[in-house]
Amino acid sequence: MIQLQGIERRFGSVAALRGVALEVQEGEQLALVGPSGAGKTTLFNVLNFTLLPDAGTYRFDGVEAAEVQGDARREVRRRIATIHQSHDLVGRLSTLKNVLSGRLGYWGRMEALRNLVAPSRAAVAAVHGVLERVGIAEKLDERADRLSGGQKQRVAIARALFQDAELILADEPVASVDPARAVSLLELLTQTARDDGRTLIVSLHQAELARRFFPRIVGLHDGRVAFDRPTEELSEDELAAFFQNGSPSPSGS
Amino acid sequence: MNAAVLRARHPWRGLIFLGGLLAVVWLAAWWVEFDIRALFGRDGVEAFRKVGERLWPPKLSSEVLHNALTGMVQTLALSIVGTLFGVLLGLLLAPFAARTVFVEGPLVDRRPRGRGARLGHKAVHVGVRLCANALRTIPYLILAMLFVFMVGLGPFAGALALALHTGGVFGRLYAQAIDELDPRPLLALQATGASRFQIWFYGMLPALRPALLSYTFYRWEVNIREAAVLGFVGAGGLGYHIQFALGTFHWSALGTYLLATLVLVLAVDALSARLRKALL
Repeated sequence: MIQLQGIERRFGSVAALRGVALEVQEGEQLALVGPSGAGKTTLFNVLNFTLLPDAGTYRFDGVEAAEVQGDARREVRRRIATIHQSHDLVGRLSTLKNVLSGRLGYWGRMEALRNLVAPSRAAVAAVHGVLERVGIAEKLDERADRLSGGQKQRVAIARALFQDAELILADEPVASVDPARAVSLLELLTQTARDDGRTLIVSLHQAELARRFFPRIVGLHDGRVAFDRPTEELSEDELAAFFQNGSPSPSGS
Repeated sequence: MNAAVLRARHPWRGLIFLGGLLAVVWLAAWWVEFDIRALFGRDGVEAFRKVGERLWPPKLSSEVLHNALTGMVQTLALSIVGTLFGVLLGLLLAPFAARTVFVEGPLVDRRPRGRGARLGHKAVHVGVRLCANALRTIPYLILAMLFVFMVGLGPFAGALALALHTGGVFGRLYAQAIDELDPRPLLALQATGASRFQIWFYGMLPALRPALLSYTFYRWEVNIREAAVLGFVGAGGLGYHIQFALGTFHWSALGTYLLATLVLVLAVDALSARLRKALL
């Protein structure tokens, strides 16, 4: 489903990605680990068609990133849901409207306006259902900028689930919730992805959560893939070594 | 200390600045033929006393009262129509006058193949900006005179002038507010497949709401004052009666009209402050 080859991306003089190659099959679930500044967020922005790579090719289900524009690009974007690290909700809209906006890619102008002014009963019920799954249904009409960090996190997850996408990208989705909530949210994400046959890529900085929930772990360091292995072939020590010096082997090859 | 620091700390720096400022004020006063004796000399004071005596008591004949009342209503209507249509025009112009919607920034595609569309967007951007600046820069009384020629004497010409001038001001202010928005929530919407039209309604307008409301109320307070003098060029409102009374030396009627203007402006200021507090 995802094919990345030699992806490079610079911001001014800083190289965020330097030749990333990665293949992900449909329905796969993998954790992306690495220190901050490793390029995880940039990689997600390439994967969801927000950033174009400077070099290399990216194909999503056969659609090449450099080739699509306009409506064709909107159609591929709506198949990919992103949970952003800083949540990126619209502060002055209610939780309801923020979650509804996950479906914008499927709506025309009139439907978007109607749902902004007077959402249909069916739409409200659907949003309520998703909010119940992330445990925050009571905040349906609360303005997003009045929610706590952990609550915003869950609304951002609800928006992504409501988008009903084939690929879910989650950038540090449990960074601002407590450990118990982190476990239940990761259970929810991996479970719904499994049930609905969605592909899931989650970036994490907690090694034990990555090992516990994901069968495949990809380590990103300094804009490159440092390792890409099934979890059972990756020992705890190797993962700890990676977090310490950017390489899973003690010699630092 | 090096030479630059010493120069910057020259002991006469403050004196030179003060001297320059005084020179500018003196020159400007000379240009406006500033004459303290005309203002406070014996003749000046006498003239003021006479005008005051003639204005008071204000005339309260049924004709004057009728003029004052209809003038007030018309002036209020002018300010409301001018402000609201200005908001609509401003909202129409602003996305094109802003840089970050179509011209540059994270929402704008930078790839070489999009160059033709980008040049088109840039041309529209420059055109809309020029248009908004022109409406903003031409004094509204001159706009009103032009519209009096085009649509005839009366409040319609005044409403057009006020709406277009206000639209130019708002187009510029809103565009600045758009360019200062946090792009991250907008990019998140774009990543779900939202179009620019949808991002405008779901991401930009909600974030702009407080700025839009406070600009609107501020401008309404400005527009009620501008509407009060539109009548000087025949474009409706209290200004027409004020100018007629001045031209025909109906001093006590003039007193009534000036009082009506004062009451109306103060009432709008108070109402605007209340609404602002309730909505923000």
